[in-house]
Amino acid sequence: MKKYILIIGILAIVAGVGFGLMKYFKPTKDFAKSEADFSVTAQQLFTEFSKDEKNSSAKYVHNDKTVEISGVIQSISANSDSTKTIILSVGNPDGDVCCTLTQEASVEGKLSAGKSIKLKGQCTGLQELIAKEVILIRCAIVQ
Amino acid sequence: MKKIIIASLLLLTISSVSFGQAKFLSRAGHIWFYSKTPVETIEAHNYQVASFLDVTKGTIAFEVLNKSFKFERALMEEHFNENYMESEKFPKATFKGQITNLKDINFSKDGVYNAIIEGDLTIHGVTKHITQKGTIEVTKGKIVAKSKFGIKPEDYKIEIPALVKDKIANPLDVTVDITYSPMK
Repeated sequence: MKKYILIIGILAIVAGVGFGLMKYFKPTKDFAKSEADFSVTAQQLFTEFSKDEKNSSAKYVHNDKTVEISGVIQSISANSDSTKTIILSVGNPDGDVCCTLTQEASVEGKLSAGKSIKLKGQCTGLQELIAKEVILIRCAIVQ
Repeated sequence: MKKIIIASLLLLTISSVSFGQAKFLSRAGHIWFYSKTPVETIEAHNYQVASFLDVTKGTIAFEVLNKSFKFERALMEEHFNENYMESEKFPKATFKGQITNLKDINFSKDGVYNAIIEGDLTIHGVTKHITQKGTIEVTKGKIVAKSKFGIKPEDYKIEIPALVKDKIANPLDVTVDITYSPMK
Protein backbone atom coordinates (compact mmCIF):
# COMPACT_ATOMS: atom_id res chain seq x y z
CA MET A 1 0.00 0.00 0.00
CA LYS A 2 2.75 2.41 1.05
CA LYS A 3 4.53 1.66 -2.21
CA TYR A 4 1.51 2.72 -4.24
CA ILE A 5 1.19 5.99 -2.37
CA LEU A 6 4.87 6.66 -3.01
CA ILE A 7 4.52 5.88 -6.72
CA ILE A 8 1.43 8.08 -7.02
CA GLY A 9 3.27 10.83 -5.14
CA ILE A 10 6.28 10.66 -7.47
CA LEU A 11 4.03 10.58 -10.52
CA ALA A 12 2.17 13.66 -9.27
CA ILE A 13 5.45 15.53 -8.75
CA VAL A 14 6.75 14.55 -12.20
CA ALA A 15 3.46 15.61 -13.80
CA GLY A 16 3.51 18.89 -11.86
CA VAL A 17 7.09 19.73 -12.81
CA GLY A 18 6.43 18.65 -16.41
CA PHE A 19 3.37 20.86 -16.59
CA GLY A 20 5.29 23.79 -15.12
CA LEU A 21 8.17 23.39 -17.57
CA MET A 22 5.77 23.03 -20.46
CA LYS A 23 4.08 26.28 -19.47
CA TYR A 24 7.39 28.06 -18.98
CA PHE A 25 8.77 27.00 -22.35
CA LYS A 26 5.48 27.32 -24.21
CA PRO A 27 6.31 29.06 -27.48
CA THR A 28 4.70 32.33 -28.45
CA LYS A 29 1.65 31.77 -30.62
CA ASP A 30 2.57 31.68 -34.30
CA PHE A 31 -0.10 33.88 -35.83
CA ALA A 32 1.24 33.20 -39.31
CA LYS A 33 0.55 29.49 -39.03
CA SER A 34 -2.60 29.48 -36.93
CA GLU A 35 -6.03 29.49 -38.46
CA ALA A 36 -7.83 32.85 -38.56
CA ASP A 37 -10.52 33.38 -35.91
CA PHE A 38 -11.86 36.38 -37.81
CA SER A 39 -11.61 37.53 -41.39
CA VAL A 40 -12.48 41.18 -41.94
CA THR A 41 -11.72 44.14 -44.19
CA ALA A 42 -9.61 47.01 -42.85
CA GLN A 43 -12.63 49.28 -43.12
CA GLN A 44 -14.83 46.88 -41.10
CA LEU A 45 -12.27 46.48 -38.34
CA PHE A 46 -11.67 50.23 -38.15
CA THR A 47 -15.40 51.03 -38.02
CA GLU A 48 -15.97 48.50 -35.23
CA PHE A 49 -13.13 49.91 -33.14
CA SER A 50 -14.06 53.55 -33.64
CA LYS A 51 -17.68 52.83 -32.68
CA ASP A 52 -16.99 50.65 -29.65
CA GLU A 53 -13.40 50.19 -28.55
CA LYS A 54 -14.26 48.15 -25.46
CA ASN A 55 -16.34 45.47 -27.12
CA SER A 56 -14.07 45.34 -30.16
CA SER A 57 -11.09 44.75 -27.86
CA ALA A 58 -12.97 41.97 -26.11
CA LYS A 59 -13.70 40.42 -29.50
CA TYR A 60 -10.35 40.80 -31.30
CA VAL A 61 -7.63 41.59 -28.76
CA HIS A 62 -8.26 39.50 -25.66
CA ASN A 63 -7.22 35.83 -25.76
CA ASP A 64 -4.84 36.51 -28.64
CA LYS A 65 -7.22 35.90 -31.52
CA THR A 66 -5.78 35.54 -35.01
CA VAL A 67 -7.20 38.25 -37.22
CA GLU A 68 -7.10 38.05 -40.99
CA ILE A 69 -7.44 41.43 -42.64
CA SER A 70 -7.76 42.58 -46.23
CA GLY A 71 -7.37 46.09 -47.56
CA VAL A 72 -5.61 48.52 -49.85
CA ILE A 73 -2.03 49.56 -49.06
CA GLN A 74 -1.68 53.25 -48.20
CA SER A 75 2.04 53.19 -47.39
CA ILE A 76 4.91 50.90 -46.37
CA SER A 77 7.71 51.80 -43.99
CA ALA A 78 10.74 50.10 -42.48
CA ASN A 79 11.26 49.92 -38.70
CA SER A 80 14.37 49.99 -36.56
CA ASP A 81 14.10 46.26 -35.80
CA SER A 82 14.21 45.46 -39.55
CA THR A 83 10.50 44.67 -39.75
CA LYS A 84 8.14 46.39 -42.15
CA THR A 85 4.91 48.18 -41.39
CA ILE A 86 2.05 48.27 -43.86
CA ILE A 87 -0.62 50.93 -43.43
CA LEU A 88 -4.02 49.97 -44.84
CA SER A 89 -6.49 52.67 -45.76
CA VAL A 90 -9.97 52.58 -44.30
CA GLY A 91 -11.73 55.11 -46.53
CA ASN A 92 -11.43 57.77 -43.83
CA PRO A 93 -8.59 60.32 -43.76
CA ASP A 94 -8.56 60.36 -39.93
CA GLY A 95 -7.78 56.70 -39.51
CA ASP A 96 -6.07 53.57 -40.73
CA VAL A 97 -5.07 50.05 -39.83
CA CYS A 98 -1.37 49.63 -39.09
CA CYS A 99 0.07 46.13 -39.61
CA THR A 100 3.64 45.27 -38.63
CA LEU A 101 5.08 42.10 -40.15
CA THR A 102 7.19 39.51 -38.36
CA GLN A 103 10.93 39.58 -38.93
CA GLU A 104 10.61 36.33 -40.88
CA ALA A 105 7.89 37.62 -43.21
CA SER A 106 9.29 37.84 -46.71
CA VAL A 107 8.41 40.94 -48.63
CA GLU A 108 9.20 40.58 -52.27
CA GLY A 109 8.92 43.57 -54.52
CA LYS A 110 5.22 42.89 -54.96
CA LEU A 111 4.12 45.43 -52.35
CA SER A 112 3.31 49.00 -53.30
CA ALA A 113 0.79 51.66 -52.40
CA GLY A 114 -2.58 51.17 -54.01
CA LYS A 115 -2.34 47.38 -54.19
CA SER A 116 -4.69 45.04 -52.37
CA ILE A 117 -3.31 42.75 -49.71
CA LYS A 118 -4.43 40.15 -47.20
CA LEU A 119 -2.58 39.79 -43.90
CA LYS A 120 -2.91 37.70 -40.77
CA GLY A 121 -1.72 38.64 -37.30
CA GLN A 122 -2.41 39.69 -33.73
CA CYS A 123 -4.63 42.69 -33.07
CA THR A 124 -3.39 44.68 -30.06
CA GLY A 125 -5.96 47.48 -29.94
CA LEU A 126 -6.75 51.05 -30.93
CA GLN A 127 -4.29 53.93 -30.72
CA GLU A 128 -5.74 57.44 -30.81
CA LEU A 129 -2.92 59.88 -30.14
CA ILE A 130 -2.20 60.90 -33.73
CA ALA A 131 -5.00 59.38 -35.74
CA LYS A 132 -7.40 56.57 -34.97
CA GLU A 133 -5.32 53.57 -35.74
CA VAL A 134 -6.04 49.87 -35.22
CA ILE A 135 -2.76 48.06 -34.53
CA LEU A 136 -1.82 44.57 -35.70
CA ILE A 137 1.55 42.97 -34.94
CA ARG A 138 3.26 39.65 -35.78
CA CYS A 139 1.65 39.76 -39.22
CA ALA A 140 2.23 37.43 -42.14
CA ILE A 141 1.21 38.10 -45.71
CA VAL A 142 -1.55 35.72 -46.79
CA GLN A 143 -1.78 36.94 -50.36
CA MET B 1 17.38 99.51 -50.91
CA LYS B 2 17.11 96.63 -53.33
CA LYS B 3 19.77 94.79 -51.38
CA ILE B 4 17.83 95.19 -48.16
CA ILE B 5 14.66 93.85 -49.78
CA ILE B 6 16.52 90.87 -51.21
CA ALA B 7 18.24 90.26 -47.90
CA SER B 8 15.00 90.40 -45.94
CA LEU B 9 13.28 88.14 -48.49
CA LEU B 10 16.13 85.69 -48.15
CA LEU B 11 15.90 85.81 -44.36
CA LEU B 12 12.17 85.23 -44.55
CA THR B 13 12.57 82.15 -46.72
CA ILE B 14 15.32 80.76 -44.49
CA SER B 15 13.34 81.28 -41.30
CA SER B 16 10.19 79.77 -42.80
CA VAL B 17 12.19 76.72 -43.84
CA SER B 18 13.67 76.21 -40.39
CA PHE B 19 10.67 77.15 -38.29
CA GLY B 20 7.87 76.23 -40.68
CA GLN B 21 7.56 72.81 -39.14
CA ALA B 22 6.37 72.76 -35.55
CA LYS B 23 4.69 69.40 -35.23
CA PHE B 24 6.53 66.10 -35.42
CA LEU B 25 5.11 62.59 -35.28
CA SER B 26 6.13 59.01 -34.85
CA ARG B 27 3.96 55.96 -35.21
CA ALA B 28 6.70 53.38 -34.88
CA GLY B 29 8.56 54.49 -31.80
CA HIS B 30 10.43 51.96 -29.70
CA ILE B 31 9.93 51.56 -25.95
CA TRP B 32 11.42 48.61 -24.14
CA PHE B 33 12.01 47.48 -20.63
CA TYR B 34 14.65 45.34 -19.10
CA SER B 35 14.78 43.50 -15.82
CA LYS B 36 17.82 41.56 -14.73
CA THR B 37 18.03 39.56 -11.54
CA PRO B 38 20.22 36.57 -10.67
CA VAL B 39 17.19 34.37 -11.29
CA GLU B 40 15.93 35.65 -14.62
CA THR B 41 16.35 38.27 -17.33
CA ILE B 42 13.17 39.71 -18.77
CA GLU B 43 13.08 41.97 -21.80
CA ALA B 44 10.08 43.26 -23.73
CA HIS B 45 9.93 45.46 -26.80
CA ASN B 46 7.18 47.60 -28.25
CA TYR B 47 7.86 49.03 -31.71
CA GLN B 48 4.39 50.49 -32.21
CA VAL B 49 4.62 53.54 -29.97
CA ALA B 50 2.71 56.61 -31.14
CA SER B 51 4.24 59.94 -30.19
CA PHE B 52 3.69 63.61 -30.84
CA LEU B 53 6.15 66.47 -30.38
CA ASP B 54 5.49 70.18 -30.84
CA VAL B 55 8.88 71.91 -30.99
CA THR B 56 7.54 75.44 -30.60
CA LYS B 57 5.41 74.70 -27.52
CA GLY B 58 7.62 71.92 -26.19
CA THR B 59 4.69 69.58 -25.68
CA ILE B 60 5.33 65.87 -25.96
CA ALA B 61 2.96 62.90 -25.73
CA PHE B 62 3.13 59.12 -25.99
CA GLU B 63 0.63 56.34 -26.33
CA VAL B 64 1.56 52.70 -25.82
CA LEU B 65 -0.62 49.61 -26.15
CA ASN B 66 0.36 47.05 -23.50
CA LYS B 67 -0.51 44.20 -25.82
CA SER B 68 2.10 45.39 -28.34
CA PHE B 69 4.95 44.49 -25.95
CA LYS B 70 6.70 41.38 -27.20
CA PHE B 71 8.50 39.08 -24.77
CA GLU B 72 10.84 36.20 -25.34
CA ARG B 73 8.48 33.75 -23.64
CA ALA B 74 4.74 33.42 -24.09
CA LEU B 75 4.31 32.91 -20.35
CA MET B 76 5.99 36.24 -19.52
CA GLU B 77 3.73 37.99 -22.01
CA GLU B 78 0.72 36.29 -20.44
CA HIS B 79 1.71 37.28 -16.91
CA PHE B 80 2.47 40.85 -18.01
CA ASN B 81 -0.93 41.32 -19.65
CA GLU B 82 -3.12 39.28 -17.33
CA ASN B 83 -1.60 39.61 -13.86
CA TYR B 84 0.40 42.83 -13.82
CA MET B 85 -0.86 45.37 -16.36
CA GLU B 86 -4.41 43.95 -16.48
CA SER B 87 -4.48 44.89 -20.15
CA GLU B 88 -8.16 44.04 -20.58
CA LYS B 89 -9.03 46.73 -18.02
CA PHE B 90 -6.19 49.14 -18.82
CA PRO B 91 -5.22 48.56 -22.46
CA LYS B 92 -2.77 51.46 -22.77
CA ALA B 93 -0.13 53.52 -21.03
CA THR B 94 0.13 57.24 -21.83
CA PHE B 95 2.41 60.18 -21.18
CA LYS B 96 1.55 63.85 -21.64
CA GLY B 97 4.11 66.46 -20.78
CA GLN B 98 6.43 69.28 -21.54
CA ILE B 99 10.09 69.85 -22.33
CA THR B 100 10.94 72.29 -19.53
CA ASN B 101 14.32 73.48 -20.89
CA LEU B 102 13.08 74.25 -24.41
CA LYS B 103 15.39 77.31 -24.66
CA ASP B 104 18.44 75.00 -24.54
CA ILE B 105 17.36 73.07 -27.62
CA ASN B 106 17.82 74.45 -31.11
CA PHE B 107 15.56 72.35 -33.33
CA SER B 108 16.85 74.02 -36.48
CA LYS B 109 20.50 73.20 -35.81
CA ASP B 110 21.90 69.67 -35.96
CA GLY B 111 23.19 68.42 -32.64
CA VAL B 112 22.51 66.43 -29.50
CA TYR B 113 20.79 68.34 -26.71
CA ASN B 114 19.99 67.41 -23.12
CA ALA B 115 16.30 67.64 -22.37
CA ILE B 116 14.29 67.69 -19.18
CA ILE B 117 10.80 66.34 -19.55
CA GLU B 118 8.06 66.76 -17.02
CA GLY B 119 4.53 65.42 -17.16
CA ASP B 120 1.93 62.84 -16.29
CA LEU B 121 2.67 59.18 -16.83
CA THR B 122 -0.32 56.84 -16.67
CA ILE B 123 0.27 53.12 -16.29
CA HIS B 124 -2.23 50.54 -15.06
CA GLY B 125 -4.80 53.32 -14.59
CA VAL B 126 -2.56 55.19 -12.11
CA THR B 127 -1.26 58.66 -13.02
CA LYS B 128 2.03 59.95 -11.60
CA HIS B 129 3.68 63.30 -12.17
CA ILE B 130 7.29 62.60 -13.17
CA THR B 131 10.41 64.52 -14.25
CA GLN B 132 13.02 62.68 -16.32
CA LYS B 133 16.14 63.47 -18.29
CA GLY B 134 16.64 62.57 -21.92
CA THR B 135 18.34 63.66 -25.11
CA ILE B 136 17.04 65.24 -28.29
CA GLU B 137 19.08 64.62 -31.40
CA VAL B 138 18.47 66.83 -34.42
CA THR B 139 19.80 65.62 -37.79
CA LYS B 140 18.68 66.99 -41.13
CA GLY B 141 15.13 67.81 -40.10
CA LYS B 142 14.68 64.52 -38.24
CA ILE B 143 14.41 64.38 -34.48
CA VAL B 144 15.34 61.45 -32.26
CA ALA B 145 14.26 61.56 -28.62
CA LYS B 146 15.83 59.16 -26.13
CA SER B 147 15.41 58.58 -22.43
CA LYS B 148 16.15 55.88 -19.91
CA PHE B 149 14.60 55.77 -16.47
CA GLY B 150 13.37 53.46 -13.75
CA ILE B 151 9.80 52.50 -12.93
CA LYS B 152 8.71 50.92 -9.67
CA PRO B 153 5.71 48.63 -10.13
CA GLU B 154 4.26 49.57 -6.73
CA ASP B 155 4.07 53.26 -7.76
CA TYR B 156 1.45 52.23 -10.30
CA LYS B 157 -0.35 49.76 -8.02
CA ILE B 158 1.06 46.78 -9.88
CA GLU B 159 1.27 43.92 -7.43
CA ILE B 160 4.09 41.45 -7.84
CA PRO B 161 3.40 38.27 -5.82
CA ALA B 162 6.01 37.44 -3.15
CA LEU B 163 6.81 34.19 -4.96
CA VAL B 164 8.18 35.96 -8.06
CA LYS B 165 9.46 39.15 -6.40
CA ASP B 166 13.10 38.08 -6.73
CA LYS B 167 12.61 37.38 -10.45
CA ILE B 168 11.67 40.96 -11.32
CA ALA B 169 14.03 43.90 -10.89
CA ASN B 170 12.77 46.91 -8.96
CA PRO B 171 12.97 49.50 -10.37
CA LEU B 172 12.66 48.18 -13.93
CA ASP B 173 14.71 49.91 -16.63
CA VAL B 174 12.57 51.59 -19.26
CA THR B 175 14.18 52.89 -22.46
CA VAL B 176 12.44 55.24 -24.88
CA ASP B 177 13.77 55.70 -28.42
CA ILE B 178 11.57 57.63 -30.84
CA THR B 179 12.40 58.88 -34.33
CA TYR B 180 10.11 61.71 -35.38
CA SER B 181 9.25 62.91 -38.85
CA PRO B 182 7.63 66.24 -39.69
CA MET B 183 3.83 66.09 -39.73
CA LYS B 184 2.50 66.20 -43.26
